Amino acid sequence: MAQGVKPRVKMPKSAAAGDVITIKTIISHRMESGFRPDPDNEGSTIPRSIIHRFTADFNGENVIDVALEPTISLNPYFQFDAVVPESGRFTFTWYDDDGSVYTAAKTIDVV
Amino acid sequence: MDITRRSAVMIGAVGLTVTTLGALSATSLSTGVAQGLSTPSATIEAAIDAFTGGAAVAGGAIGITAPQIAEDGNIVPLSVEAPGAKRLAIFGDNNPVPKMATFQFGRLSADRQVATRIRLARTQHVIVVAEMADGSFQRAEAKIDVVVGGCGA
Repeated sequence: MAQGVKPRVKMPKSAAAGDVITIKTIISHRMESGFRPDPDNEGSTIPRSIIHRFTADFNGENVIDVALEPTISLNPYFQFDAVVPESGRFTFTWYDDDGSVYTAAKTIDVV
Repeated sequence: MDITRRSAVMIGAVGLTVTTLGALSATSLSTGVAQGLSTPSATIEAAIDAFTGGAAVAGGAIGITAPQIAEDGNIVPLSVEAPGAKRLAIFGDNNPVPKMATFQFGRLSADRQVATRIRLARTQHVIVVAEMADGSFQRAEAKIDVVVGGCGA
């Protein structure tokens, strides 16, 4: 597991049924692109090690599925919208090149 | 009017192509390609084709919001508005590899609007291509001037 990788999600705690909410997600990750020259190894680059996939699901149904390439900035940030039909739980998952999987979850109440 | 993918990419790549041809005619071929970390126009066409399966790509239905000048190419904010899209891909025509991200939208995805931050190695066109609900493709592009390049250039 890469060190110091921490996901954060910002979204409302409640909404009316059918409301569109904005979700902001970020995960602290250096996103080593694989393009940076290796200072200790002339002619080669520091190997790639990035978050390559991010998904958000609501009550088990996929809302957004992102395939990230090395040209996404460090601490990958995604802001997107979701329509909330009922109370439930959003789960967010980040997949690391090194095999680690990071998750976060937020519940939302439909009032 | 439908703009084919080929002509749409050509319109977008004109700036890049003119500059490259100028450099090649002024210097030897080996010096002209010495810069590295840049995407030849054939590669970006191939990357877009891989996403669209070679289908025609029209303009006008999706939007891209990006700064005209990016001070730091390591963190360039970008947002795309693609109402009705099923999938979306972001490309750059002057990065080490053209594709930056691909988004798949589910039923609950509301307006198909997404914002993120990208790395740009140098001044280039950012091109977004969306597959719409009916299977057709749309594109939008923005030129971003990069002051200090990202991507470890």
